[in-house]
Amino acid sequence: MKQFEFTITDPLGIHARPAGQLAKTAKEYADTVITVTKEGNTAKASQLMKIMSLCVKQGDVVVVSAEGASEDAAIEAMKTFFENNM
Amino acid sequence: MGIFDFMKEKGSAETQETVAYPAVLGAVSKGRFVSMDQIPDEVFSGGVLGTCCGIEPDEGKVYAPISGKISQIADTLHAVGIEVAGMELLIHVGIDTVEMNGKGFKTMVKQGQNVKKGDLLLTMDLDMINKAGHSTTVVMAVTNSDEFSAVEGIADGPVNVGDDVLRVSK
Repeated sequence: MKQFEFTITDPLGIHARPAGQLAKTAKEYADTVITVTKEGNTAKASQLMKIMSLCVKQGDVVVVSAEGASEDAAIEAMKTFFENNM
Repeated sequence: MGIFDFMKEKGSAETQETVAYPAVLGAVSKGRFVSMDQIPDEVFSGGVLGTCCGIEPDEGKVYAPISGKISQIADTLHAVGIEVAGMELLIHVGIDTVEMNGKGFKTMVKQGQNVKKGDLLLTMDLDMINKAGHSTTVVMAVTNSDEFSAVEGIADGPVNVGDDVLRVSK
């Protein structure tokens, strides 16, 4: 399993738009389970509504994990996504 | 309407709503139907949030498109999730209205609450949204549309609350 920690800098947090883009990116790695955890609550990155339910805000720290056949590529894609969008 | 309707009436608050597929979702507002490709935002029109449709509302009221459970309400009150029998819906009021930080929005429901089709979910101040420079288009997206064989817009032009607008097929 690969993972990293990220502090959200976007003032709007993970709302519908970024959650949708996150889910879309995560679905490109069908053989790998990608999750986002905030304060003990975990949601699959591919599940848009679950991600939105985490209510991730600016300043929140999330842990992004990838486990599966493409975990190396997936975690890199997630790092890029969070750095560019969040 | 389906053969399981009698169970809904008798069921406790925990009872999951049942849906007969193909399921039809009603218009969330009175206004003009907007097909997915005409929604003025590429995140919606490109299907990033799932297959969707929009309504350009005449009134600042948003109603439940189907009976189900409120799965979430954004802190900014401009987006509501409804879950029903494997279908996940997102009702997103206006485009980029997250930036209004809840101003002009009022919600009538709570997370976890069961709602019936046609129940008032929230109100919005259309003038305030317009003045802030945002589109008031109310988007209804089936966020897990890739789990269905088809999600199709089936309306055109003016619609009343509850009119058939999206058909979801297994």
